Amino acid sequence: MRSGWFTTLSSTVLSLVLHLVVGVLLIFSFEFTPQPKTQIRKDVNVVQAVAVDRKQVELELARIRKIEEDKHKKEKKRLDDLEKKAKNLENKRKAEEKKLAEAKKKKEHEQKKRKEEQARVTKLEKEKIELEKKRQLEEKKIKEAEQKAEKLKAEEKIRKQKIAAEKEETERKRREKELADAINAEETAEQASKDQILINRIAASMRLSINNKFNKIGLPEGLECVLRVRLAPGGEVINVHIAQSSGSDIFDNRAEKATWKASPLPVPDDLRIFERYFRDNTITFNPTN
Amino acid sequence: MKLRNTRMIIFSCALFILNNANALDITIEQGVENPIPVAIVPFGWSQASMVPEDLSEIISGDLVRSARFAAMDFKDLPQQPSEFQDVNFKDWRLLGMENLVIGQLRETSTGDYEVEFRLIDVYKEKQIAGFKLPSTKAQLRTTAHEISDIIYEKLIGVRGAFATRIAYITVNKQRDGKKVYTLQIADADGHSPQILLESPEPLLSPSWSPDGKKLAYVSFESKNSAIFVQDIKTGKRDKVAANKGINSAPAWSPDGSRLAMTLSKDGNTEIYIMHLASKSLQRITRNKAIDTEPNWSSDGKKLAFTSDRGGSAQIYEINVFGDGKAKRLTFDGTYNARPRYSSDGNFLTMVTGEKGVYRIAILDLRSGYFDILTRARLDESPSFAPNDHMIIYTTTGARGTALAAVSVDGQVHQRLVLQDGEVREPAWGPFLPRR
Repeated sequence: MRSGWFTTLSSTVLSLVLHLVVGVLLIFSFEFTPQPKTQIRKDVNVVQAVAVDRKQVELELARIRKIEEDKHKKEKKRLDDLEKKAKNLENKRKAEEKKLAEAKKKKEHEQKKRKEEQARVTKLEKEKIELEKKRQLEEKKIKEAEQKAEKLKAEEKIRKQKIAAEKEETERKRREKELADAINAEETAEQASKDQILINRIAASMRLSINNKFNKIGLPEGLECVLRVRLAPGGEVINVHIAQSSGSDIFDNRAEKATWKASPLPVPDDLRIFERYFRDNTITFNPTN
Repeated sequence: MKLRNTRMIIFSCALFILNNANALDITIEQGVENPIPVAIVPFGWSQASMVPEDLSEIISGDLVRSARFAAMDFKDLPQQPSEFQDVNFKDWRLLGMENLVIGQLRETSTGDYEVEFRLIDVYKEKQIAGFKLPSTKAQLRTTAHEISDIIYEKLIGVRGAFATRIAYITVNKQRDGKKVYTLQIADADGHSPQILLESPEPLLSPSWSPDGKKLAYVSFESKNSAIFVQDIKTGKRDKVAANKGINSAPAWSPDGSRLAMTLSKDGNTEIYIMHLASKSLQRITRNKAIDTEPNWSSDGKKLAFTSDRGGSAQIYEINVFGDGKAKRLTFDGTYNARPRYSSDGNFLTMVTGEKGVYRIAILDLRSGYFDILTRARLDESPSFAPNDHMIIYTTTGARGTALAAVSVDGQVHQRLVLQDGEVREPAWGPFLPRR
């Protein structure tokens, strides 16, 4: 566009100059013509003079015309050359411009590429660091697991040893007990039956004590509750717990009250038997009318 | 936290099972039936003036009369606290006392009263019940009965029937030899009698409306028998049946809309139901024999009555909406009459006669078990308390006819001493509305 404009301008200037030159030349030739006229007036022989003059003028004119034409041609050629040159120049400039743009583009592309490369490298480096970290952690874990396994193994070993020792001890004790049992079999049986008689007698006495305190007046039939009763040595009731409610607070309360009121309950003096049979008792209240 | 608790429970249960591996299992199958020990401490009274009413004495009287309680003598009380924090539980336990009632009577700024009481479990050292009841001078006895009702319910499991009333007929011979009949009501303990009607002619068969506001009865004031309904508060009377012949034995239906009665207007003595709103009659029995003394089952579906259709007086039952066929209920004894259903529908009380001796009997309608509860020569007119625990009746001896009561198991007998003269046909009224 710019080059187009430039071309138009330069050709306009050129043609203007050309016309100016032609104009000057024309004026020059007109002034040239009257000079012989003046000379003729002064001469006597006018006709001759005119004929000679005309030929000379025509020659001169032809010569001038030729010069003019040559000049014109030359000028045209020059203008053409000029135009050509300008065109060439324009083309060259355009080529240059294109080259420049391409170069710029290439540069930009390269720059981008370089940046990308940079980023990739940075990223890779980061990943590398992460991987390293991970690897270290893994290593640590493995190490710990190994340590733990070792520890467990050691513990297991100790435990097994312990079990074995215990087993041996139990076995030993069992054998000893068997032996002792065998030796004391008769005695023990006798003692057990004695114990059983005592237990039964005391349990019956205990039942009677509580029964005599269990007041069922006004209570409906068919209710049942279960109490857990804890005794102190000596038979004192120290705790009463409703293990199974009858569904009637009043019935449960009467049962509890009977137990408290029967305290102290009859219990054996033998602490061994007390602890084994009388410490905790289950008492069921289900009166039948 | 919750999980941990659960675990704890499981753990302790497991522990218990382990502990009990050798423990004894004792079963109490019998028990005893003794009056429940209770101590009613005289209620606190802040004023300098005389106590307007000895509430503790009224409560003790109620509870002892029920025969299910033994109240500690006033002189045996180890202390007389009126506040919970003043109770020395150890002392009471030492005396075998199981329950304690303490309270205070206060005069309010308006001149009325306020009664505060607590029922305390001596063994658990815990309050079982505690109430503050507003009252008036005229109502103090009723308030005491209400307290008795609460104590009874908390310790026996059934609502007490102390704050109820009884209706009865009295007969007094005047100096001129003429008899005076009265219809009266009184508190269940016989106190505060109130004459509703006085007549030179016989009055009979009082029957309470289920809301306790009215009484139906028979009056011979117009020489022939007539059935009246009387409003207790206003005294307004309504003659509902005055037919030719017999008009007797009114019995209120449980919904209060009808009266069963005995009429002979159609020639024979039959049972009818009167719809009170319209006074229209529905005949229930149709039999040549005498059918009388109807009583409603509490569901309102059946009537028990006396009939001699089998040759001697026995109790029969008939569906109110049925085909008119009666079912005989009594087979023990040669004479059974005047049936009354218990409010739970499980029992029937009646008069049973044998060789000129009449006693109060009870029939278990579920099992058919028949039991004679009294031992005098002439016991009549049994009536259940609204909680079915006692039966009130009349007993006639050398000193005349008096009111007596017996527990439904026949264990406890007592005489209710009212005023002089003969007392007949007691009818135990319904529960008062709870407040």
